[in-house]
Order: sequence, then structure tokens, then C-alpha cells
Amino acid sequence: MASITLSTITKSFGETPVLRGIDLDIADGEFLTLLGPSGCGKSTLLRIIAGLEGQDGGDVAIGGRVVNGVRPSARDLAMVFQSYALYPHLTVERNMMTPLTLRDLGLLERLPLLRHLVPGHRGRMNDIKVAVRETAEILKIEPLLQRKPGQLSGGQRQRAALGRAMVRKPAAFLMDEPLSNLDAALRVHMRAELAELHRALGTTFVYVTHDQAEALTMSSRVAVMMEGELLQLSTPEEIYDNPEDLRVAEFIGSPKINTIPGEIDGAGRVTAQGLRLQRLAPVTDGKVTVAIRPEHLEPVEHATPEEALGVTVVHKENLGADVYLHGVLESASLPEPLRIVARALPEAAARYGVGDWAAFRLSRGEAMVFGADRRRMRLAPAAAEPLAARA
Amino acid sequence: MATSEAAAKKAGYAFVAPALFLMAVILIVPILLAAGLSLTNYSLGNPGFEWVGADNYERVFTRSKFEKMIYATTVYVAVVVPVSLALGLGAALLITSVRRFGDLYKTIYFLPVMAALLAMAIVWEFALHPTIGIVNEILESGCWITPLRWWPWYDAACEEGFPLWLGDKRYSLGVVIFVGIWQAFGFNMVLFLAGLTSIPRELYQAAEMDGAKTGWDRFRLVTWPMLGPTTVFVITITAIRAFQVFDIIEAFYPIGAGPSRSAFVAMFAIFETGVQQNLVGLGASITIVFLAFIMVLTLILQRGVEKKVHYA
Amino acid sequence: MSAVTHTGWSTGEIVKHTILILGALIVLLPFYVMVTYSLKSPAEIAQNAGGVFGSQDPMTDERCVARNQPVRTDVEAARPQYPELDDSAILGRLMAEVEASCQVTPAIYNYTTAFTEAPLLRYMLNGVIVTVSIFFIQVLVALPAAYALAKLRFWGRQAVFTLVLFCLLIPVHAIALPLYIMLAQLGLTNTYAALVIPWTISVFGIFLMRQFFMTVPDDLIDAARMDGMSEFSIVWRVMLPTAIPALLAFAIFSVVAHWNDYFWPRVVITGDRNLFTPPLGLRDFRSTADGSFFGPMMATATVIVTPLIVAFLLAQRRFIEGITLSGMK
Repeated sequence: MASITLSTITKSFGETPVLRGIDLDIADGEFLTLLGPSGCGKSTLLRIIAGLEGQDGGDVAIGGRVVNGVRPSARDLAMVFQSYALYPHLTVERNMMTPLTLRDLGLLERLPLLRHLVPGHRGRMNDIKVAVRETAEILKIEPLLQRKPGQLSGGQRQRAALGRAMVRKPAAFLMDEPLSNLDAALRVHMRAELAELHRALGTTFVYVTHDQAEALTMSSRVAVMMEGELLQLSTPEEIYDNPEDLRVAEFIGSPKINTIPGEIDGAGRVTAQGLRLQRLAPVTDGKVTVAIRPEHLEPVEHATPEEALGVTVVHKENLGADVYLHGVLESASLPEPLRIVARALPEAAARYGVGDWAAFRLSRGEAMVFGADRRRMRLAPAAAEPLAARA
Repeated sequence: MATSEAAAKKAGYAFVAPALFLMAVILIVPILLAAGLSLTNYSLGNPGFEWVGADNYERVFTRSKFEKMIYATTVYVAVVVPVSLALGLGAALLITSVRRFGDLYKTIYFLPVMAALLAMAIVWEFALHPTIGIVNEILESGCWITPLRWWPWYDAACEEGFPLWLGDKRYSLGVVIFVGIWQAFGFNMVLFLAGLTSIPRELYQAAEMDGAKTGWDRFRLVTWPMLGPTTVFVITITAIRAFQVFDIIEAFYPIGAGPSRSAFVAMFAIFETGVQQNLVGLGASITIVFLAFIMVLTLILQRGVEKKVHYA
Repeated sequence: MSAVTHTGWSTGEIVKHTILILGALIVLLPFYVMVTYSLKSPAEIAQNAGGVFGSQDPMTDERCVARNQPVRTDVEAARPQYPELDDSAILGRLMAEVEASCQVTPAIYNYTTAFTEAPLLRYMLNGVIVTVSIFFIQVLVALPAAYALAKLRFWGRQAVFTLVLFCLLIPVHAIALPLYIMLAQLGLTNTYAALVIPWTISVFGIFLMRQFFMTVPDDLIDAARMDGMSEFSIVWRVMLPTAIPALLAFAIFSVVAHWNDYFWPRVVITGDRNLFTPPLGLRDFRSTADGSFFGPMMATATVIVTPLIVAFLLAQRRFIEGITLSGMK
């Protein structure tokens, strides 16, 4: 068990920078997810931790020991690959034995025939088999031990790969999109199982995914990466409720967060397409982006232009428990019509048909304001305003 | 109007008919013919023939001439197949592991596959000429290098002259084998290169994470097992080709297949006996034995491929 | 900090390159011998002199001298020119003149001899005729059969395919003797037909094309049928164009095999030089050659080997694909 510390990691492939100085502290026993769209550098970062790739600059420390230039096998980490990377010619049992035999047996002992001549060989092999059996028991794959990977289903291969990683009790697990090859239902199931496994083992997990649902459901903390930068590192709740960067806000949440171009006037008041926010910006004058989650908008029949966005309903997305109303906001100040999504209860949504006008009122939570640099602006409550609508 | 299904059926027969006819006439009938002829004393140009039963087969298995044929063919195949396989695999591994010029080596090693073997065998004969050949010239030029003289064979050759190669029955089959390997290994290399690129990189990374520290560990754990199907295929195709070697022997020894028939391989035997000496019955019986041997071997090896392929 | 430097030559790298270069030298040795001998004079070959390209000092073409040997009448005709000399001296003079006129550069001598002493151009043309005919007939037979086996449903299809798989096991060279007897009985030895017929059926081609056609979606064929195409035009107007890359690879496979083939032409062509393929021509050249013919012979070998080598160097990837096609089995 160990903490992992990354300091100013940089990496380029040829002329293209893929990591631009990543600092990251992963606590012992934590489930940390590296989340980001494909090509953001998250897999490269994981492989740098593993030692499969060398960084161009910066340090990797595992359990306080700097491991730059240390071979992957000497870092005491285990990795679960996207394709599982099980050895197809070996049974599940032999697959799981491999990391132990390579670590615990000498070269001579790994040679066919000759190995029987090495003293103590039988005992060591027995220890290894016992370890494999114990792990298989935890993962409930004992009946599969004598099969080859080709005879297993996707979920079974996934478990076998986990077993191979677990069997040598590493300091930390590295997982590179391990669920992406499974079907949707199994993925949801394995999410829960992985989280339980993490709790039971108490080992550090570093998990790479582009799927926000996986990140939000399993992690202790999430590191959102984009374009080779670490944009935000916080708990899943914080990432969702309090994104520090417009790109994080846009990446997390489905349907995507509504973004509306707005501006700040001389007094620090924020307006976006007529909608007035009640709190004041720390700066005056300038263009901003106002971002509102669909669940914070509510369709109402009557509202003043200052407290709601007036839209034409173009689509109703019925998810059963909720209905998402898609509206289009047209304005002379916009280069093209803006699509706004609001969440409504089915009863409320029933009042609107496609083509109807609707007012989406900012009813719950807070609108978030991002400056031109895409960083979050902290708004202050406007004490003088008598109107108490939270916005 | 006929339905498209009926039309497809009719077209199906029409389309396979020419192929079926040619397969029968060019591949099946000759085998049957050879089987029949092998029981006769037929000669081309003779009006009739007599049935001689298994006499021809008895001769194939008892005469010392054909004993030499079996020996030469077996030795040729038994050496060319493993050596050209090892060299092909070695070259492929080295080429993929070097950072530069890999493509250049690949091109060079593949050249012998493209060149007419007969022409290149004739060139080798020149190169191996005892007095004016470049091979002995190069060998002689190394005689002053003391470490090389520690090799007894080389030391002796420096004192007493280098071998006649083709004219010496101790070396003749060896030289034929050498040229066979020279020609075959580039082909095997290319097959292994293709096999190597199809091994998922993640397997090597998994091996690295599992603690495979040395190249040998990675080779044992990933490369060699993953190349299994390629290897069986390379063995099959090299063996089939090696069994049919002819050009090299004809180029070196147009008459007699080398000093005391040391390079008397099966194809040469069929050609000499059946075509040149017009002992068609005897030639046919060699054909049948030879064919049975190749087909059984191919079948066994193909079984091997299927078994190996199914673990993926 | 990366542990691996990307530009340096580590010890391991140097060892690997040393082994690879040694291998390359052995592989290239005969090519070097072939080209360099084709440029040298007989004297240079016999003494192992002249470096890579030969000195290219003019040499005397012995055959030219033999052809223009002065005879009695020449001497008589030359008497008025050299009134002060006796006949033997005149003969010596004339000989010297002939020898002077028969001076050539070795490289030119070798290559012109290669083309004049034997009908090398004819051999090359025969090679082209044979390989091209073989390939076209192979495609003509194999393509419809492969289409039928892959996409048409008819009774006995499985049996035909099983037969194809069985025939894949038969090497045509191995059954050369009965084929030769059959052709001889039909009076077809020493004809182009004898060179082509055994190769008209490429079981491997059928198998390969069938595997390829299996990957073509049925919808494409059904769409063609809806457009009113007959099965015949589907083969040539729909399937053929989709199969071009596979056919190209097969073409390379087939052409290389039959241009370089020596055994089969050796069996069925006996004597008629007009039907010799390039390897047969070279073989014939060798059996008639004496020591002074080493140069022209190597020139012939170079001429025969060059077309495929050049084509290979120009389109390496395709060639390697084509030659290793059998790897797809």
C-alpha cells in the first residue's frame, strides 16, 4: 500500500505535448479516477506511473520513493488493461500464477524439466497455487481456473485480469478503462463490484476512464484532465456541483450543462439573454459565460424576462421519471439560436407541446459564471437587493 | 421468369464447371494415372506395357540409388526447415528491435526470394569455384587472423587449401542446403514479421508489469506462444518447398546429382528416372511415394495449425 | 527523465547491427558476384582482378577475330599494299588489323554477347507470354468458381469446396511426370500450351478469392440483382472490382512463381529454343559455355533477374504482401 506523488510531469510525442506539467497527490488507499475525453493524456499519465512510458520531465514517487527510471516490474504496481491482456495460451490459473512465478522463482526454476531439480521448488509452487486459489475465491472464478481466456465471456475475462493483478498484493492498482469492453448492464454491475473490492482491499486504485458515470460512482476523488492539463481535482460531488473550469462543467453532467453568453455591467451585475443574476461579480465590465444545469431550470407559464429564459420548445425527451424539454432561444445578439434544456416532472412537461413557447425559470441551485479565461468567477450576494430570489 | 434463386443455382453450376473440370484433369487424373503407371513397365514411345505389380515400389525401397535419394531428401528437408526457420525468426526479431534501417535489412533479406533460383544457383557455383571463386578468396584472405586459426577446420584449410565445395562429396549436399537456406529464410522472415506485428502490444506491457525483466522472459511468455500459428505455418510451407528442391541441384550437377549422387533429391530422381531415362513406371512409383509423404505431412501440420489457432 | 535515449547507439544496438550487416553481406554476395562478373573481361574474372566494375580496358573479342580470320584471298588482295613483305608477314599484319577492329569494352561485350549469342530477347518474350497467359486463365477460371463457392447456393457446393481443400495439398511439381506423359500422348510437348496448361487451375487462387468474397456483404449482390444484373455480370462488374487488391497480390504471387519456374519448362520443352523461358535459356547458355563465356553468362543472369527485382524495389510492400499471400491460408 502506498501513496503516489506526481510532480510537474511533462511528456511530448514528437512535437505534440501530451502532458503539460501534471502535479497530483494520490493518498494511500484512495480510489482516484483520471477522467477526461480521449486524447487528454490520462492514459499516458497512467502508463508513466506504471513505468511503461518514461516522462520527459518531473518526478514519480511511490510510497515516498522516487521511481524515475525504475522498471515497471520493480515498482510493485499491478495493472488491468483495457483489452485485459491475458496470455491466450495459458489457463486462467497459469495466467494468475505468472506474476508470482516471475517474481518468486529464479530463472533456472522457470525452465521446463530443469525446474524439478531446484531444491524447494515444489513448496514454492504450492504457495503460489494457494495464493491463486485464495484470490480466485474472492473473485468467484474458481470454476474458471482451468479454462483458457478464449473460452471465457467478457465479464469472466475481466475478473481473470483483476485476479492476475490482485494475486501479488501490489502497492497500488492501475486500471486503464477496464470496463469499456463490457456491455452496458455488466458495466453497471462491475462498477459496484469494483467499488466494493476497493473497500475490501483498502489499496490505492488509480483508474482511467472517459465515462463520467464510472468516475462519479466509484471514486474517492476525480482528477479531470483535458488537453494535457489537470483542470480540477476534487470529490465527485464537488466536480459536479462546483466545477472550477468551464470545460469541466461542460464535460460532466448529462444532458450537458446549458451555457449562455452573458455580460457584466459597470456595477458587477451579470445578465445573460435578459436573465439577471442576483449576485454580483467580483469584477466589472466584461463578457462571461453563464452555465446552468438542466435540473436547475423549471418550465413555468408566467415569469418576468429577468428571472427566466424565453424559449420555443423543439423536442421533448421522455426518460420516464423525468422529461427533458429542449427549447430554442433566438435573439438578435446571438449568432445562432441557442439550445436550452430544462428538466421537468412528467406532469409539468405535459403542458408543453413541440412549438409552444415556454419560460425556463432558474429555480433551484445557482447559475455558475465563467470568465473569458474559462475559470470560475465567485459571485457575492448583493446585500442591497430586496428581491430574494436565489440566483 | 425464373426466380433469382433458380438462376443462382444454374449460374453456380456453370461457374464451378470449368474449375471442376480442370481440377479433375490436371490434378486428380494425373495422380490416378501415376498410381496406375507405377504398377507397369511403361515407357514413352513403346506401343504396349506389362503389369509388373509392386516391383517398382520394391526397387524404390531396396536399391541403393534410391536409398541415397531418401537420405539426401530427408537430410535436406531436416536441415533447411529448422535452420531457415530459426534464421527467419532471428532476423525478424532483430529487425523489429533495431531503431534504424530495419526496412533496409528487410528489403535485402527478401531479395533471394524474388530472384530466379536457377540463376542464383549458377552464380553461387561461380562464387564457390575452387580457384577463381570469391568464397575461397575471402576465406583465404582471413588466414592471417590468429583467432580464426584456433578453429581447427579453418587452420587446416589455410595450410592445405580450401575445399573444392561442389566437387567434394563431403561438402556437396551441404552446399546445396546452404543455398536452399539462403533462398528460403527471407520468406520466413517476412511471415514472422507479419506475425510479430499482430501480437498486441498490451501483452508485452502486461508481461512487463508481471515482472518479465529479461528479453528471454518476454520471448518465452509472449512472443513464442503468440507466434505459434505462424511457426507451424512456416514449417509447413518451408517443408513443402524443401521437398520439391530441384533448381539448385540441376544448376550445380546437371548430370548425376553430385559426386556419388550425394545430392540426389526426390524431384531430381523423378526427373531423371521418369523423363530422361524414360523409366516411366519407376518414376511414377517414386511420384506416388513422394506425394503420399508430402500430403500426409501437410495434413499433420495443418492439424497443428488448427489446434494452435483455437486458443485465441 | 526518460531512461531511454533515442539517438545513441547502445552496445546492444551495435551488436544487432553487426549481425544484421553480416547477414546482409552473405545474402548480397551472389548478387554482387553476378553483377560484377557481368562487367568484367574473361582475364579479369580468371585472375580475380578489376575491382567491382572491372577496369573496362578494351579486350579482344575472340569470336569476332575468329569470324574475320584472314584467308588466302585476303592475303593475295593485300599483296599490292605491302610489296616489300612476304605472305606470312602480310598475314601477321592482317591479323593485327582484325584484332584491332575487334577491340571492345568488356561490359558492352558481355551484354551484347548475351543478347546475340542466344535469343535472349525471345526468351524474355516467352517468359512474358507464359506468365501473362497463366495469370489471365487462372483468374478467368478461379473468379467465377470462387464467387459461386462463396455466394451462390447450389447442391454439391460443399463437396466442391472440400475437393478444393483437398487439391490444395497437391503440389503440381510433384505430379509433373504423369502430366508430362499426358501431354506427350496428346503431342503437346514443346508447345506454349504445355507451358501453360498445368497452371491454368490455381486451387489456391480459388480458395483465396473465395475467402475474400465471403467478406463481401450479400446486400451488395442482392442490390445488383435488383438492378437487373445477371450472375455473369455480377462476377465481372461487381465482384471483380471489389477484388482488385486481392487480385493484385495474387498476380504478383503468380507472376513471380512462373517467371522463375525452371522445373516444369525443363520437363516439357526439350530442344526447341524458340520456346525457352528465361531460366531455361540461362541453363542452355551455361551448358554450351566455355570459360570465356562467364561474363556474358552473368550478364544473361542479370538480365533475367533484374525485372522482378526492380519491380520489387519499386513496390516492396505490395510484393511482400503478394508473395506471403500463402500465409493467409
